[in-house]
Amino acid sequence: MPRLKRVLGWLGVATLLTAPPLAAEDSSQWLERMAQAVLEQSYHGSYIYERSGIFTTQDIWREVSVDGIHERLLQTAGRQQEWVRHNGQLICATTPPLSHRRNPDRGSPQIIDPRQLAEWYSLRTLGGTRIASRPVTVIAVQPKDGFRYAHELYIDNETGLLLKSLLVDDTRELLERFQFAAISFDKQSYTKGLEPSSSCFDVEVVDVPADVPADVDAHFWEPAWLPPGFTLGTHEVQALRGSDTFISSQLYSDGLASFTLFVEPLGRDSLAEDLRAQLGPTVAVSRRLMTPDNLFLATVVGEIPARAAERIAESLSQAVAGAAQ
Amino acid sequence: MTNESLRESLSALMDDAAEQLEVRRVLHASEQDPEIRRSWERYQLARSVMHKEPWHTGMDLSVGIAAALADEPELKVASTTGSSRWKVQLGRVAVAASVTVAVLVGVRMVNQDPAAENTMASVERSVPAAGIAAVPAAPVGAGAVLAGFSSHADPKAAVPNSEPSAWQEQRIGNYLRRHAENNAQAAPQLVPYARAASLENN
Repeated sequence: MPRLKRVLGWLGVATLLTAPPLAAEDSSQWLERMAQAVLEQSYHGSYIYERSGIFTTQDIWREVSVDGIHERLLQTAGRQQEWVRHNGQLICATTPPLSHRRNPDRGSPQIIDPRQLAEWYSLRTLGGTRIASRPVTVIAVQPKDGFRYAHELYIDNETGLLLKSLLVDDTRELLERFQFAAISFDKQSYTKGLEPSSSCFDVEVVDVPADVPADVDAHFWEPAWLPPGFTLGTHEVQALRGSDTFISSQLYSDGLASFTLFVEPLGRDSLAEDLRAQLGPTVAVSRRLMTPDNLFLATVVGEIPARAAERIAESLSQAVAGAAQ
Repeated sequence: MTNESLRESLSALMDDAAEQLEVRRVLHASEQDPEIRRSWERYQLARSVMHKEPWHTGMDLSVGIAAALADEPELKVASTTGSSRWKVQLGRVAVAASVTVAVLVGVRMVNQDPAAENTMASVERSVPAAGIAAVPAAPVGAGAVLAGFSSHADPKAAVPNSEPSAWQEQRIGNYLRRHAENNAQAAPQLVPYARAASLENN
């Protein structure tokens, strides 16, 4: 009995000595592996995606080859829907977006950088479990402020692929769940489902016309406040099909979470109010902006807490009001 | 309905496999019979333990499910006041407003009166997020939907003064889709894809 006590005591000491320094180091290595796996792994798998009001099951076939990443997603319950992508760009879909501007100079894909993430999140290895019959390591990604959500990432031990992901808010409500049910790395299985079906319609590529009004094109909308760590990714002007409205869109990201700031001029017949909408993990906050000679609608849309989105939108209207004076 | 078949429905409900009719039956029975209600609570506890999902513990799903069912079309003619009726019917209104925009399942919109709500102040007051694993489960409010989530009812939401225009609803739907697609294109990651795909789902 005393011997058992001593063993337990030593176990405790050993845990104390090794656990804390390893945890952060270890978890950022896992995130690095995860980022790398996205660029390297080919597979065929089935997964679920769940958020408030939605539970979907989908199949994915994915091949990484010399000419890039080819992916085909197929909804396996309810209405048949598919999406085919090449290097992330949507090529065809059962219901293609209304209009779509393919951006040739989008540059290299956004890769998760654990060192950058560690500034705004604390990383911790929670332990191991199984997802899709495979051993995984669970990493907790916990925000250091109230302007982003917490993630729980389940990373495949062998390949580094993200097999399950949970998004949790600061009241510990689950906002979103993504989880593989099965996955195979067999080449025959992932190549055979890559071809689009006849009901996959090409995405119409809309070029921005030359006559974009100067006030839209030239205007970069600078919010006076951004949540710390969020930096501007792409900025573009998009046209709406069937209308002469031009929408400026700016994508910001902290490396994990992101939001888009949309600004468009408000016509006389466009009735708009200050508004907030919530769809699962995604919030949308609209504010009207008054400039000396125009009225605009600014909308922040992203997977960030409502208070962060509201503060960004408020800071923009204050900046505009300040400039007008 | 016998006790035995009720229990079966109850267990289907816990597995998220119950049909809507079954859910109604269980809810009705649990109102009448405290024994059924206790069974439900035990099942919930068991499920939380099995799934090790702390955010489900102590949460009375029945309230949320009843609320979600109350949002069904057959009740929509009942006279309710602006705010809640608006949230409930938003998806349907959006479809009527525009044939090009498909219904966004689960979206909630509120108009905000800036004068009634000082968001800057509420940001300053808010505390940093708490730890995932270490903190005991917080009580979760009503408004859960069938998938087992609490919907995102914000207690400090402003009292809506009017309903958003059809134009604006359509715009919000449009922005949500564009943001999802922007995100999906920024990195070849599956979660943004799944998010974007879920907007097309109906």
